[in-house]
Amino acid sequence: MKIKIEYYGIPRQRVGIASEVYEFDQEEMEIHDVILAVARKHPEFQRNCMAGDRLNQHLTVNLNGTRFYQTENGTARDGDALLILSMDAGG
Amino acid sequence: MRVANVSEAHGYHYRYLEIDVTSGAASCHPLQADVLQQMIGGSGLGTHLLMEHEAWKHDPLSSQASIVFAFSPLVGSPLTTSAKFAVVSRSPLTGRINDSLASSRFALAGKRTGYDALLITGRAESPSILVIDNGHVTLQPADHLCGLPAEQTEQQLRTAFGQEYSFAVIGPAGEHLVRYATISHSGRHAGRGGSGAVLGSKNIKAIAVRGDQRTSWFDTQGLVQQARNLSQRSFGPATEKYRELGTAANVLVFNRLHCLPTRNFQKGSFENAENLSPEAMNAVRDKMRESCAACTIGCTHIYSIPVDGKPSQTRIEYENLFALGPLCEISDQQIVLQASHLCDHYGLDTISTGGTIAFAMECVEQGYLQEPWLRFGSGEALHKAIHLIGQQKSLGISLAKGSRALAMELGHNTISFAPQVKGLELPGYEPRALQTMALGFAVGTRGADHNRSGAYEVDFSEHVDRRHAKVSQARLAVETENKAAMMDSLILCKFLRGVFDDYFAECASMLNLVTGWNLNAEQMVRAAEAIVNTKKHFNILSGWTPAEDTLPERMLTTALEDDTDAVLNRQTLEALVKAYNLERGWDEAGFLPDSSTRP
Repeated sequence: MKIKIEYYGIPRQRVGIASEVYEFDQEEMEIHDVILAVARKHPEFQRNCMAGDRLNQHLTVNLNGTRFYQTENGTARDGDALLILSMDAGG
Repeated sequence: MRVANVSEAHGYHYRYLEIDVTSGAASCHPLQADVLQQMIGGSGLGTHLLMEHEAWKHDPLSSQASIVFAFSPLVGSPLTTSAKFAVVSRSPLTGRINDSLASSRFALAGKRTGYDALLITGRAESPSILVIDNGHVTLQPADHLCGLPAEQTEQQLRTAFGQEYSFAVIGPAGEHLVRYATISHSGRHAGRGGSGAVLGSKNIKAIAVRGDQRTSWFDTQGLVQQARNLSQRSFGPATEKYRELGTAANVLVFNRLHCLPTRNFQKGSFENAENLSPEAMNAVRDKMRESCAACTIGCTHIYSIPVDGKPSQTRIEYENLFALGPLCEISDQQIVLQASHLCDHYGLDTISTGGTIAFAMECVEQGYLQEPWLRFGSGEALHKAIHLIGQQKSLGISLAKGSRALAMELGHNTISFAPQVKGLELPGYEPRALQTMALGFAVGTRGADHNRSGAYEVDFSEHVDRRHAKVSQARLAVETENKAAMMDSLILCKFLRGVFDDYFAECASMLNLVTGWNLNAEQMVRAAEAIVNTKKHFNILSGWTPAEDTLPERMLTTALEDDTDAVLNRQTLEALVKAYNLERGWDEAGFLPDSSTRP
């Protein structure tokens, strides 16, 4: 399956790209495992955006522009877009 | 732990100064510890003083009206972001309470005059500078400053008065009584609700403050330790976004989530948003970063732009970009930055400026306003409209009153799509796509506002479905509003909020170290509630009715064009408002339980 990862704000600064597509063998995956795959690929992301094996508490994940999964407990399927962004939306 | 006894005064001067600028007379009034423990300072203290002076009775632009500059117990302490002040008055835009905040050295110098707040009433005979030097008050002529923008006014005053003074000033918009004119200090603005017009109506072009009366701290060692710890945390990931990209980082996120208000709130995304992102601007423009006094975050991002063919600079925030860009359907980076610069030049709130112009653009499109030049997407029209507002000329006279007044003038039920609540234009958070925030907007005491309610935080969490609100979210909206009320009264910058593990307990700890009090987290929550209640009480006395706690009709009857799942109907909003009122301990309609507070 293919999952599009979109980076916003600080994650984009660290990774250096706006988005990329990941291919996985499974038909569906835990969001947490997708995040781990991102961290494995991008050392800067691992260093600056992760706290242990989870996103740091100031970042969050959104699936397809609809629901947030801060605890990374959700399922991503083929064709989904996973947005990684700041929790803080203060303007 | 030692606790200060009543006779020990730490953190506060325990007094405020009342100045009648009609006569130039000044009088000192005591502030009691029990009042300060409830109202803290800043917004809370300012609102309390307005209640004491029955400010709800008076037209906000009349000579009887009061305006308060309120400092706080933390001002002057080593705690990061604490150099802030609140300006509180009845708003000429909404007729309700208005508290707007700004930062930096005016707060430090203002508190060193020896007072916790300055309350100004009356009207000077001619344009004047109000000078407060260690509590000694004089009025000096300001005719030579009339018509000058805020930045130049401050420059001239600094030359004339010297570096020891700090200044709060108004631009031409404040002099012309534009209902959303700002009060400026060092490039920052007490921006919303028209406090600049209130000062302008008093013929006060500038306030100059100087003093050497510092307050002591109860536990200096403990305070320094806590300040170090807080500063350390302020360098971390919680504030990274603000340091590296600024609030403008919201542009692309909001666009993706369809909550970037576009074309007068008809859409939630803008096809050219990328062009207005800080990422795109950083690639093509010189930029510098700046901090307010006593701040370790440094969120201010200043971009280079040409103005009248000369190199200049402008500060950029998400709200400037949204209101002067997508809301008016303008994607040209330079046009938007120059529009923001123009707002600073005149001393205009960018949100109300952009909101009112975008509304007028739609009225033109629908044939209700005969100004064919004023079209969505026209940068030339945007700049022309800002000039007309700032100079109060032709159409600018109507635009200067805000979108609600313009809608009343035009009729044809244009009020249904005027982007305002209680007369205050909505900030850049599309309520149909962020429905806890929709509730925050509807019930906000100063109108639609993202600084008094942080309910968008709830929408950006996994606890709710942001496009399908449930009444249980009302409690979460109350909690964010309480946090904001405390932050605005202590005062600390909201960009710090992510660093606290136990927010109210840490607020209590900071306040106790400064004052020697022994407050706990629960008492801080009660104080925050008391501040919100006092603001509500002020509004009730000034004529508030439950019908004001709503959103523009179009937002309750029409889905977002580009996200048809983002629907908020009247029934849902009314249920949310009712749940909010009950959660606050008010009656279902929103009146306070004490029947004496009914009008």
